[in-house]
Amino acid sequence: MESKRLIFTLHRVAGASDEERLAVLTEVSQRLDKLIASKLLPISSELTGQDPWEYRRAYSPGLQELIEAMTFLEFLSTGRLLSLSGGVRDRLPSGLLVSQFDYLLGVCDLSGELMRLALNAAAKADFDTPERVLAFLQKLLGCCETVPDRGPDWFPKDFAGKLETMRQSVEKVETVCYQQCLRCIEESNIQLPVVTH
Amino acid sequence: AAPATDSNATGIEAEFQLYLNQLAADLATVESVKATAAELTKLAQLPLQALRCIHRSCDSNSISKAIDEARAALQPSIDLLAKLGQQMPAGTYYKYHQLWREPVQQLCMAVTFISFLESDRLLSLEDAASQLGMAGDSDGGGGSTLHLDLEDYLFGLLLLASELARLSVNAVTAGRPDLPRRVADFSRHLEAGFRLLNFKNDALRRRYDGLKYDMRKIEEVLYDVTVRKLE
Repeated sequence: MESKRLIFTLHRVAGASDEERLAVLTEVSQRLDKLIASKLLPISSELTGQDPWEYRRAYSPGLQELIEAMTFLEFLSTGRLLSLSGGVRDRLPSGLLVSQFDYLLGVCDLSGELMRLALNAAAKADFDTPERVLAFLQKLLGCCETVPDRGPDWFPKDFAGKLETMRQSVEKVETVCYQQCLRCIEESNIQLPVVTH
Repeated sequence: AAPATDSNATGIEAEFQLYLNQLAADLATVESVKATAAELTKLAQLPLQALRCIHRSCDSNSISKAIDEARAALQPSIDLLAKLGQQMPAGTYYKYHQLWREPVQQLCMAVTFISFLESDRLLSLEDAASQLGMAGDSDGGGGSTLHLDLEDYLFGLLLLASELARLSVNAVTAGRPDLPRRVADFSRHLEAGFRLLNFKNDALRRRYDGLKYDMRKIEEVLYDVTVRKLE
């Protein structure tokens, strides 16, 4: 729940000034730390000494939301993807099992949020953000498409569906950048510039 | 009426033992085919991954590079297809067909995509099959050898159409306003061809229904480009 609120807060960054941006990012980062401490640390200590896979299903959805929020924050702060081993696992209590699929599903949901970010930015005449989001998402999609979408029983069944949703998100951002491009041409009325990503 | 004798009962058991043996052999084949098919599914992604870089940068150099990488990435899949052909006993092509349809369709899409990018040509089924090391569809042998099924080829073409629709949009963003016309000309011929076909009510038909949305996107992009005289 709190993760959802954090994501909502992060969306305010679109179209904001640099100082506001910094303020929001700092605030979210602190709230994230608090959230991890208050909710995840107890879970991790409860599970000490147990087989981590046994209870995974109980906290997996919440964990995915959290990863979505963390990666969103990272993208807004640095433009990079928060990695599983370096970034995510470092910030979370070490006893807590974060499987590759929790990470992947969280990242898939991230693509939806980034799509919303790009669309909102375009509506506020921010041309830079959609382009950065597009480059990031296309790379991300390319990588996610190499992951097999079927497997043993603990493979999430909704991965294929999320991948399809990600494709549609990417297509929406592509359309937005395309329309921006056309608008730029109309306004400047010069030869189409080559935009390299 | 004579009572059931022991020999009758043993006869039935023997029959069933025969079935069980055949089933076990069959399951063993299925397992090995499945394993190869899973490997093929993984490998079949690679040529597409190479080609999809075009959506980000589609100047001629990038396209040539992508094609070269894709061709190199095709070879492992082709080798694996050959292995697949050997794993299935003769005359059982369609028995295991469902297990590896998807990667074959994607490979079809990859080779037809390359053919479009290089020469704006629609690769025929025969040519596509030979590029993938398979026999063409109506191969006389009653479909017993590893061949490219017509429906898989058609499915691959429909996948290509969606990819081209996406390319149209990204080509403009990436500074190639000449591509949408090439895509449109190619796709119109493709669509005209498909309209000649009579479909059963199956997955191919449903996929074909999506073609009109791809066509609409392609035509809209072409319109946007033409009306602004961008070509």
